[in-house]
Amino acid sequence: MVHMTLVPEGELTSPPGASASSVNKSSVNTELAGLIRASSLGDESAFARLYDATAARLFGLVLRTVRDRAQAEEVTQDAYLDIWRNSSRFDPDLGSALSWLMTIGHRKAVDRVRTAEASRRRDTAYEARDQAAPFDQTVEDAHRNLDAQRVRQALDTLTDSQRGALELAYFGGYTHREVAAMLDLPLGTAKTRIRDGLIRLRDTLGLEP
Amino acid sequence: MSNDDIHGLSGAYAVDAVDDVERARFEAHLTGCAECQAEVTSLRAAASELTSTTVTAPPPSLRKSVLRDISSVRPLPPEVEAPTETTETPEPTSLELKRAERSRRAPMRQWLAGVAAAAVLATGGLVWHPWSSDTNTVQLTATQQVLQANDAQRFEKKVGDATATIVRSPSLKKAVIVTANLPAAPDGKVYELWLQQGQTMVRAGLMPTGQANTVLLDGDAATAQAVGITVEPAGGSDTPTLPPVALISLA
Repeated sequence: MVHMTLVPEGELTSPPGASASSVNKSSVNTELAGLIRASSLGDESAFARLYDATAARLFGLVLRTVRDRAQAEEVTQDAYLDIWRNSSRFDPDLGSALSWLMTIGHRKAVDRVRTAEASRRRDTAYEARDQAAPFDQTVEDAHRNLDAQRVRQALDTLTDSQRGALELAYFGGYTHREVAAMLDLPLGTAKTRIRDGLIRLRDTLGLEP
Repeated sequence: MSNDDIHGLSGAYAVDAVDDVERARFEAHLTGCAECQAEVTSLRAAASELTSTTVTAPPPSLRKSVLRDISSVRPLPPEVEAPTETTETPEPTSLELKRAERSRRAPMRQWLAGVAAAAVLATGGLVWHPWSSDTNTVQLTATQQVLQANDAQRFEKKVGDATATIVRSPSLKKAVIVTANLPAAPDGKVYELWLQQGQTMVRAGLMPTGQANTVLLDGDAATAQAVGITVEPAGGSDTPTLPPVALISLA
């Protein structure tokens, strides 16, 4: 189901290389931005294409955070409805299309896990099914995904504590105060590690500061 | 939280690792800090790259559900500059409050959408660029000062689906109300805000229309025991019509 994921065809066939990848990335984002714009005018088929191009990214993020598959489907559905409703509010000058979509999905997932009931269910599900190492939840295609490989390499440049704090915050949905308590850090330290980790990630991936 | 270290919250904010009050404070800060705006944008872009490590195909049934959902929902219109408001509000006395009022009317509007979303979970509220167009306002408004105050306290009340959150700074003697999902007042009526001072309810201003608002309350919030919301005839009343829609205790 490679065509269902946000993996540009060119990336799968061309040799690894950051420049090829970033060119593809920006053209993908331009295409996604066009689909969002068409959606804002009520074009449902454009939205369907937007969904097809991004659903595996967004669903994977949500599933990783809420852990429970049924809840992840609900949250993803809700996120796409928001994306549709708010498509006119997307401004390509203020960030990439993918970043906009993932920001919405992430916020929804975090909101879900922070409700008491959901976190109780999540804990049960976590015990039962997910003992995967941080940043290592692979699906069949993911290890062939050059994007993922690039991101993993970039993550390797973070210190362990930066990576640990970022993992708990981004995929765990914990607040920086909770992260500090979980990692036994002085209050205020976790937010610094999260920020430093993101900056390192950004700079290593060559994203515009 | 002091303003010295609020910049340091950019990373936690970018990945939603903040609580509602921190989010409101940071968004208040963002409206005037172009540097943080750029940083948040770039850190969100970095964070979104992490999702390439968790790619998972959703079941085909989800696609059907999503496409069925959207077919019955109209996309929101773009945000356009609203016409100048003509609602009369009591003339603020201090310069600071005049500034707060002025910025609440125009550039703060976009920012308010963000704060309102922050005040309530899972409402479909959306925070993307809460700072939106106005990036040069460095002057902190009274509302921002309350939200960012070191001694800010938070009180929340849910009535049905609606949420009202009061953020009060005893040192500034001011309080801000943040509403979400507030149903429209009946035709010809408005929501009026009150501060309970001992046995007396003192007028604290009128709520603008709209289900999500952030409003600075008039009056001394430091000495108040509660914030009341009532439904009154247009223009407001001098005494509250009982029972109140909500009474939010400040204790």
